[in-house]
Amino acid sequence: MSITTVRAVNYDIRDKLRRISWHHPEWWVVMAAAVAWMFIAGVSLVGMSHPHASSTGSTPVGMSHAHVSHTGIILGRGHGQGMLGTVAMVIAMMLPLTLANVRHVALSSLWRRRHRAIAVFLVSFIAVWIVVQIAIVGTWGLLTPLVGWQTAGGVAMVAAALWEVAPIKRQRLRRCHRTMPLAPRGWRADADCARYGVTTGFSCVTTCWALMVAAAAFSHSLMVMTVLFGVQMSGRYQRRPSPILAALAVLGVCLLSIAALFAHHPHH
Amino acid sequence: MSFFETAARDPIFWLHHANIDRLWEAWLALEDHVNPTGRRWDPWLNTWFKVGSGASAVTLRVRQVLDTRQPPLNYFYSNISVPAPAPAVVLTASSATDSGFAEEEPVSQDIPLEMVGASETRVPLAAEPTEVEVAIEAPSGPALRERAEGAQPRKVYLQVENVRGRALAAPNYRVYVNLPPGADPTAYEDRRIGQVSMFGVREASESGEGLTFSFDCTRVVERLQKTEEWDPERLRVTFAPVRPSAEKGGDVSVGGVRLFYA
Repeated sequence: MSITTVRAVNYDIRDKLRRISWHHPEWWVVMAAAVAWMFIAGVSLVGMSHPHASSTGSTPVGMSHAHVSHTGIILGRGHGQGMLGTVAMVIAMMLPLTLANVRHVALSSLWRRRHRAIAVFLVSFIAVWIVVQIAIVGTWGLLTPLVGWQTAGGVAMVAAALWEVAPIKRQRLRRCHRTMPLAPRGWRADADCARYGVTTGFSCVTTCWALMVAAAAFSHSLMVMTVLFGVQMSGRYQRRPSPILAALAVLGVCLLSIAALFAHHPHH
Repeated sequence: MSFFETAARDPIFWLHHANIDRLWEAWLALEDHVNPTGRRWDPWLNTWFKVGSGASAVTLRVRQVLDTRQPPLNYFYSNISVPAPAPAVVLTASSATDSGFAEEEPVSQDIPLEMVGASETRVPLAAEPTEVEVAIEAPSGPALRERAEGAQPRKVYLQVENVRGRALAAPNYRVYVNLPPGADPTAYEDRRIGQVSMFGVREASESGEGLTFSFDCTRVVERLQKTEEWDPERLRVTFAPVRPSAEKGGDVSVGGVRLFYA
């Protein structure tokens, strides 16, 4: 292959990538979510190979050190704790749900402001979820010693499954699709993007809170997070998502986690 | 007709919907035209509707009403001839031969729309005409870069977005661009780009973001360019009410007006 051919192929690839970025300004949000998932998977895999090392430097909430086992993928290693873990989890699980909103922000902005507008929107959106996530994990940490992990975990699991079939959940979900007018330039444009991020964040919290509590209950294990993420994505993007199927998926993965927990620690 | 709850009390609602059903039959009567079948259509074919209430309520699925001659419908149309095509509209000032617009060249799907201007505030839709000004920026994205210097956009679109409110001052609004100040809109029909209907605006406002409309205003902009009445840095959009209500109330407003080039 001659140098000219290699250059032509390189140009072709670069041109295709450039055009993809024109039509899909949300591309880097997808990349960010993928990196966050890799980080979370990496932490889980480290947990498998180093059973007594907690890479997040913490113990899964509401569970004893004994639960931080070589089954990190199934039982979790407290990915939701610590600022890095919280941010990674919010980026991995929540950002893909905002792709339609991100496109609205980008396509409603002047070309030179597209990515700045997306960034302002996302920072506001993530900020809402980080506060909520810290509150969920904190409350869970206070609650479980009082009522016991089994009771609290069982309630969280059933609540998440029931929330999936509740009509009010579908009403809340519709709010996540809302758009709002954005000023074209200046501080008002930034303020509108930030306001849209916060509004979308609150809508997302009122829709997905039960799943996030369930994720916290199972110490944000990779398996639980992956299934709950699938349920969220199906609810958001499928034309006719099945609430029953979603509830069964939530129950199934939680029961599987409980079974794995008791298999490894029968005294619990 | 502007509200979901009362639309069915207007006789034109029934004429309109019955005619849509008839046109479907006319379409089906053409060669190779059939109703959709197969598993991928099941969600649509199994969609059900409850008609009536109480003991007389009837629940029907879409697949039960595909053939009008079969129960429970049991009727047929006396005339399902295909309507004649609408005559081609000839606009005297729309020739693209010497304009900046490349009308004959199809718009490339590969060049994305670029937003070049938007209103800064909400625009009330009142019982009198209201207007809003939009500052336009020169495009800086691929819509410009892919073309020779000084070339004009091939397409111009106007988006009227997030129309929200509960009380209507008028059932419809005609949308005009670059009307002279204080002009009577009806004297400038060549500057009309479309109409905004208030049907469903209340329901869309209660449950979500309101209504959004998009208009292709390429030809109108082209005519304004030819008569040197197009300002590439500023656009004025006017919303003129059609049959405004006597009480002149209303709280409907347009969230934003956005201009796109392609």
